Amino acid sequence: MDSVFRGAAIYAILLVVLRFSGRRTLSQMTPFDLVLILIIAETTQQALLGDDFSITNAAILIVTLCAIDIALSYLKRASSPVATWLDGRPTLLIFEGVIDTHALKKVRMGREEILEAARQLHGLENLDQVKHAILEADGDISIIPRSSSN
Amino acid sequence: MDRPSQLILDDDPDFQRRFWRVQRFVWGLFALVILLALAGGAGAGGVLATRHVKAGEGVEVRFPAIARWRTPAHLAVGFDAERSTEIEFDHAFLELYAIDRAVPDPQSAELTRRGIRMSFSADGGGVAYFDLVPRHPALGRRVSIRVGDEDFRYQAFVLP
Repeated sequence: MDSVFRGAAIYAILLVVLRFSGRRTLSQMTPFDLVLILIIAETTQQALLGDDFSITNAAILIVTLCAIDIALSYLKRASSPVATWLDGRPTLLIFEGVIDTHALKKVRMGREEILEAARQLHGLENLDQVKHAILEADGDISIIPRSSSN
Repeated sequence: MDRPSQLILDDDPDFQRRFWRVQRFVWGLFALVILLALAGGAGAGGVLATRHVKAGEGVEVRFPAIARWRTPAHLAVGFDAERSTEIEFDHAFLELYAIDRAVPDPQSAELTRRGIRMSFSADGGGVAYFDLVPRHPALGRRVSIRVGDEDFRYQAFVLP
């Protein structure tokens, strides 16, 4: 019984904490973020297992976590607001070449990060060449460059 | 969203603004959790976690007001040996905590109707220390310790 509650509680806590920590944590990994993820993984493991290292406990936890994940996927399919709150929506950072500084501030990103994505994805040299930049729900940055005719 | 653009994007600026507001509020809660933990509100050390009270004439108790499930906690009972050297734990206490170790070892321990009574050999005043391990989570469970004639009760919180 313990294992199911532990699994559900840790899943819920991680979901809330990571969701509200922002998308930076998910995709824009700096060395500090990597350290954070490693520590969270280690802490979570201890909290999940407690002092029970049996195969039974591990099996129950794995089944519990997968079942919660399946249940949430159904819930997201059934309810659009739930899906929006759990997964988020894309955020426009640059629209028609105009930078949304308010959005950038709120998602804790800088122009350098957009420029980095622009360089990596399209080999662009500066932000003037970016038509749209979008922070996707999964934390990736999508860049749509200005066409040469523009 | 209507935009003078060919960009098709399933964004929702209103939701996004709402989310950012909730996010900042949750960050405030994160800060509160940290402050509460520093104050001992989450057990394992801190002003709120361990309390020290005079429980009567010649009796002092330092007890874990807030503890964590399966995490060792400590109880210290100071008593005036001329008045009594007996400490009795009630059933609620014994159901909530496993007494892992008592220092010094009690001279005797006997079952009573209330729970278990331990007697200590003491020369003058003394303090008996107990290592406790909470058996299960509890929310304000009333437990009782009797030192001689003095009855000390407190509400125990054991966090999961």
